[in-house]
Parts: sequence; C-alpha cells; structure tokens
Amino acid sequence: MSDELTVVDLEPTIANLTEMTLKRPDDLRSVARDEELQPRVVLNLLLIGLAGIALFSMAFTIILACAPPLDWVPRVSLTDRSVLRPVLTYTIGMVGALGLCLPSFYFYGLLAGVRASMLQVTAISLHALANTGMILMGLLPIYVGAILGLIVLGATDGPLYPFLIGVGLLLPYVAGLATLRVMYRGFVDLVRTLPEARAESRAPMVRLLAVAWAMLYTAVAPVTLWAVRTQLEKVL
Amino acid sequence: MRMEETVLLYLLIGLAVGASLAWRDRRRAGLWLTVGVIFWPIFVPLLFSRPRPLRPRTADELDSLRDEAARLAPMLPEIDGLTRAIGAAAGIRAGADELRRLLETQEAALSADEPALARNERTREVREARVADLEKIRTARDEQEARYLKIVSRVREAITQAHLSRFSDDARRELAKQLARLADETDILEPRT
Repeated sequence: MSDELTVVDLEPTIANLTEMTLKRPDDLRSVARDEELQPRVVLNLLLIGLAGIALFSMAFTIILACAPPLDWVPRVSLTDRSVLRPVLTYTIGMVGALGLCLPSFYFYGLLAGVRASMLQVTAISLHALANTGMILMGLLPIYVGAILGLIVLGATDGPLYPFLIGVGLLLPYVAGLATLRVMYRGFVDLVRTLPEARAESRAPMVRLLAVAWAMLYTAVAPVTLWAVRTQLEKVL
Repeated sequence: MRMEETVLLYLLIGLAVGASLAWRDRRRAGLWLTVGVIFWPIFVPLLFSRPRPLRPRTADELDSLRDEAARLAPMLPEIDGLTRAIGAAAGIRAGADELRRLLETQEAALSADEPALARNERTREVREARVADLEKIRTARDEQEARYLKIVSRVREAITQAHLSRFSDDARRELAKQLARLADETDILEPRT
C-alpha cells in the first residue's frame, strides 16, 4: 500500500485517545468535532482524566500517610476513612470545576459567534482534563522518586521536604494550569465553524473569549477543590 | 438546604441522567450509569444531542462525479482514467457498507447474548473474543471509509484541474500528473487483470 493511502486510526478508544492526547492533539480535536463520535469521546476522555488524577492522588495519599507529618498539612491515615479524602477532593474537585464552568464555556462560544454544540464544548474541556491526567501520570514517578529520596536519605528536617509536600498538594492544580493551552487551542479551533468571510474579523474576539474561558477555569478550580475538601472533612 | 439534602438531590438527578445514558447505550450500561450518577453535569449535554444515524454514502455522490467526467471527456480524452477510479471507489464503498452491515448484525447479536455470556469465566472469555472480533470489523470499516474518501477527494481534485486545464497548458500538465498518481493508486486498490 502506498504511503499516500496510509490510514490514521481515529476510533475513539481509550488507547487511541491517550495516544492522540500525547502525540496528535489536532487529530483529537478533529475527532471531537465528529458528532457521531462525541459520546464515546466524552466518556473516554473523562475516564483518562480521572485515571490520571486518581492515580496521582492515591500515590500522594500514601506518601502523606507514611511520610513524617507536617503541621500545616491535613493528617491522613491509611487505617480510617480519611484515606479517601485526597483522592475524592482531587477527582471530584477537578471534574466538578469543569462541570461548573461548562455552561459559561458554552455561552462564551455563543458570544464569540462560533457554531459549537454544548457537547463539543464538553469534549474540548475534557480534552484539557485528559491532558491534566496524562501530565500527572508523567510527573508521578519523578515526584515519588524525589520524596522517597528525601525519606531514605533522612533529609525530612530541611526546607526541601515541606516544599515538596506543598508541590504535591498543588500539582493537580498546576497541571490543570499547564493544560489551559489545550483549552485555548480547542476554543480558537472553533473559528473553523465560521464562514471564511467572517472568520478573520471574529478571530480576535474568539481569542479574547478563549483567554477568558481559561481564566474562568483557573479561578473556579481552586475554589471548588477547597469547597470539596472542606465538605469532605466533615464527613470523612 | 443542608449538605445531606444537597447530596441527595445531586444523586437523584444523577440517577435520572445515568439511567437515560445507560438506556441509550446498553452495551456499556453499567459504565454510563456509574459515571452518569457521579458526574452528571458533564454528561447532561449528551441527553440533548439526538443520536445520529451513520453518515449515508449515497450513490448520488459517485454518479455526479461520473457524469462530470463523462461531460469533460470529449474535451479532454486523457481523463478516461477517472471512470476507473470512480469504479474502484464504488467497490471500496460497497465493501465498507458490507462491513457496516456486518458490524450492526454482530453488535446486535452480542447485545442479545450478553446475559448468557456473563454467566461464568469461560463464557466471559468467549465474550472477549467476540468484542475483539467487533473491533477488527470496526477497524477494517474505518480503513475502507478513509480509502474511499481519499479516492473521491483525488477524483474531485482531478475534475477541478480538468476544468482549469481548458484555459492553460500548465494546468493541463498538472492534470496529467494528478491522473498518473490517481491511476497508480487505483492500480494498488484494484489491480488490472
């Protein structure tokens, strides 16, 4: 078969979407535009994002429970229900923030004049969430290695240990910030839905709203994480 | 409203959303119900989207290309090759349609057999084999559809070039190149006997 006819596999399976998230974001955006595929894309992107965030927060919980405690970090024990707190805070918090922002994202799209369905906006947002999950999975071995190194070397008295614990607490949020670019690109990509004559004149407005879109999530995510954590502390 | 009441309300709405999603896709009903109950704000938009039938590949598309090629042929005899490429595209489309029908039949059969296939370890292995089989059909169908689209795009490009070549020699030389490339690709898809 000639190279010209090479076919790229665009089936939205979890494996394919993971690969597209990492290597072919343009393909992922094009799959997310396909209305037939959107239900599977949305479901699988959510699962990828949740898997990454849950894996990181489980590892972080074990670190918090086993490493020397710090005064300013909530105590976690592997023998009671508090073990669920970090996992639930990060998974529910990150996805909850997205759920809260979705209607605004959709109306921003309408305001910008792009032709995007609510489902398409959801797919773009979940692309960013899946990216967050992948970044966290990628950083996890490095982070665990660094913390374990400090514990094995007995260097938990120095300033580096509290700093690394603080980094761990903020990492899901920071990874979320790193994926704002994905959200921005996804939103700006919607300019394609406009007629050619209008696309050029509307593009600055779309870019501006894409920035506003990203800033909204940046503001809502930490508030949601804090609110979920506070509520979970009462019940767990 | 207290926290408990809020959570209860959230879960009730989630149950309704999850059940609707599970009803729509019974093959993954358990998964849809679970994620629907917990993360319903994300999935509400799915309920407002109408399930769409697969894109129809009507015969009109190839017929109109065939007519256009026939109309241009008296002015540009070299575009005879287009007819063969359109024939190859029709063959590929027929194959993709067959795969689509096969997939629908096999998916329906799997859905009907689901309760029996969930009984024990051995039947679960049979189920996995059937799911893998479905995946093979799906991949083959997607490949055929992509090939079809590729050939049709090439034919469309050649027809555009044929129109342009009536006005310039450069365009006619470019048309010859495009037709040669299309002939090569058609040879690969449908070898000459």
